Amino acid sequence: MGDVIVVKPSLEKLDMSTAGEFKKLMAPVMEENKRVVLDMEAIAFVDSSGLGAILSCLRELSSSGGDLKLCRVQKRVRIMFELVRMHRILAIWNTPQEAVDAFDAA
Amino acid sequence: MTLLAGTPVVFGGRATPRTRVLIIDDDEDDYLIARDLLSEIEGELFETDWAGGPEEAWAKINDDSVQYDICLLDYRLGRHNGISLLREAIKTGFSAPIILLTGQEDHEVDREAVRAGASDYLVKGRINAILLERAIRYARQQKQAQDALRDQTDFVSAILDTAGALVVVLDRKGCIARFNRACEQATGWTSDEVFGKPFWDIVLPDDESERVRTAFANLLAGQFPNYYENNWKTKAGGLRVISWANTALLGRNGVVDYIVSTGIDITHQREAEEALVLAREREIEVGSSIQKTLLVRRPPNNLPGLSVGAKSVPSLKIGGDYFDFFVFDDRYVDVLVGDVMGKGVPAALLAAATKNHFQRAVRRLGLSLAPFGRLPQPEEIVSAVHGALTPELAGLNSFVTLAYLRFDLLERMAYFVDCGHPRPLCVPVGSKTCSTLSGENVPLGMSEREIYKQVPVSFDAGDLFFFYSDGLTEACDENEEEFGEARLMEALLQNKHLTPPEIAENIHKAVQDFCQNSAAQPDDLTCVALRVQDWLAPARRAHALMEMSSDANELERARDFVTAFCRDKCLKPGGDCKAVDEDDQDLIALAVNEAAANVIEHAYRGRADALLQIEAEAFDHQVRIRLWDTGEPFVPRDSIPPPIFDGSKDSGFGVFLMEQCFDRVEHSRDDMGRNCLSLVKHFTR
Repeated sequence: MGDVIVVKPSLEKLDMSTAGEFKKLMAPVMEENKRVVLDMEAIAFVDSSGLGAILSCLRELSSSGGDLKLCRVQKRVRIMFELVRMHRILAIWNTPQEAVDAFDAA
Repeated sequence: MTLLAGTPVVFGGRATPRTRVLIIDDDEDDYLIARDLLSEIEGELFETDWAGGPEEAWAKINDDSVQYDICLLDYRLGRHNGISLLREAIKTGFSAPIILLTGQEDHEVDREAVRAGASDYLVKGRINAILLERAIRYARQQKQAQDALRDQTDFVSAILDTAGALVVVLDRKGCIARFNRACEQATGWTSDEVFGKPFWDIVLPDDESERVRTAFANLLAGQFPNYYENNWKTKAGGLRVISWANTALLGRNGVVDYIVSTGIDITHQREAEEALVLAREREIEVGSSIQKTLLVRRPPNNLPGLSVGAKSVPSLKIGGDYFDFFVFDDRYVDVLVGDVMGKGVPAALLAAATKNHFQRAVRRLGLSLAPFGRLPQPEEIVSAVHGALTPELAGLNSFVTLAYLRFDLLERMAYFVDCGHPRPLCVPVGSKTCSTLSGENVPLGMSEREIYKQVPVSFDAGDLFFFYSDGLTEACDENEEEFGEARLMEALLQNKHLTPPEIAENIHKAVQDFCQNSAAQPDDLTCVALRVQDWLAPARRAHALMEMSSDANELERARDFVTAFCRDKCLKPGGDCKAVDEDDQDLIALAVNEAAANVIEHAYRGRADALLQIEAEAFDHQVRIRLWDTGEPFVPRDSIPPPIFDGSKDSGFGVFLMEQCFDRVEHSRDDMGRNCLSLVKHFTR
């Protein structure tokens, strides 16, 4: 399972044009680590393609017994997550440390 | 496969066949007694082999070099029960009839032995040669009969199994007696699994049960053959549609013994039929908003800004008159009324071809004039059709007259192209006189070099226009006097206060009354009346347009465009107050992003070199964003699965987001073949 790892994509947007890049970025990380915290600080926009990419990572980690937690989600992105009720599926924390701690607390 | 039970093969012609007997008994004395008894039987020579226990017995049973004709098996084989050996031997395919021997009479053992497959049962102390011979003879006859039956059964089964049709045989109680391979394949049940079970429990869906049981009862009562279709449930829970032909097998006394059903699986055919119906319905939905199939069906009653009535009576039930309407952007309405020289079917065919040419020209010009199509002008459309049609018309020695009038409802300006058609009449609102629209061109098909020009005509709400074919004015009375344009204008003025459908009806009647006593056959009579309604275009406060290629990298530019428009151009009426707050700006941009992404992915199937146009309009109380593309038409909503909110799937969110962020989401396709997605959001108070 490995330690909890924090990944911070430097993408400004997670939309149809960058979803593929995001998945490529995450693939090697998910191979080594099943407990991942995604630091969304840089990401100003997520659309349904981006959401799909995040959910596919969540599903892959969950199926190996791990999990994906998010932190530092910008307001605009959070509004989108709430609109599609993903805030109930994706655990969102304020800081990377809180998200990491949440893994140990579980 | 042989159909007759094996007959002994005799070599050399003279050797007496020997019957090979396997005697399985743990008591050697009993074996010897049996062997002696066998030797006493006259007319037959027996060769005996002895197995003193189960292991030896199995060795001999499994020995392929020896074929036993009879087996005598002791019930009590030491510690072992002869019956279990009996069962096992039969299971492994040991074919010799087995006669069970026991030390005492016991009906239970008898029954058990026969059930286990023994041919007969003899009590040791009571056997003599005669009884033994009889038992052996009966056992062999029984085996022969069974083999013959099995061969025949195998033969029949082979036929049933290779049959493509489903074959089911049911007994009087509805239990399955036969279930051929086609049935197995169609349902996933093996015949072993269903054998002996009532078929309505296994293969019928619950809602069919009643109906089928009734049909079954009818068959039992002697009403056969009967035919019906029903659904069968597969083992996996699916449904197949089967078309059955049923009949009965009667027993000796004339009563139904079995029901035989032969079925054809028509699921695919049914699915294909349903798909075809659905495809046809889709075609109608996807097509543009105005029907184009018939030449002169009733004019549409949903034309913006115009009220229309028409009456068309061809002289030979079908003729060369036609009319058509095109609508663009809810602002332009084109009316076209035409007449092909001639009558009857040939004229109608040419009229249909002409109508088709116009529709194609509109589409093609629309697409080619600019990436999105600036709207082609009437003169451009007519010229295009003229170019395509004239050579054909010349070859047929025919020509087409036409009146084409485009109404621009916003500017209150019409554009007229006249191709030798009777001049349309116009009665301006409030006027008592009738004027004509005049143009300058000749009919299509007359001159290749003709250049078609449009003439501007201004109009107002309430103006009445009237188009007609020359059959009207040329209709003659009994004195061969023509109805003429003057009379027509008078008739129009007399009826001008009525609704367009009433006007068309009354004028038509006036012409008919005029020539009722005439001997001559009137020509095709067609007229179209239309009145301009009061049409309020909603006041548009701001407008912006952007073009993007169908490349996902451009989505950000689209988002920024929409955000900026909502932020800067959407203002509350009367003030400078922003009508759309920041959060809503983000949501609108997100939804437009989803819409554009859908166009890229679905309408353009991911090609990055096509174009999308995004038009933003701000009104007093709402903002409208429209996306235009020239890709595949959009598929209606009910075939898109709704989103699933548990994280297990990621489709369906795009459309969901659009519907959450906007108040109205509408898809349409215009007459130029462009898809339009219209998104409207009302401003919050």
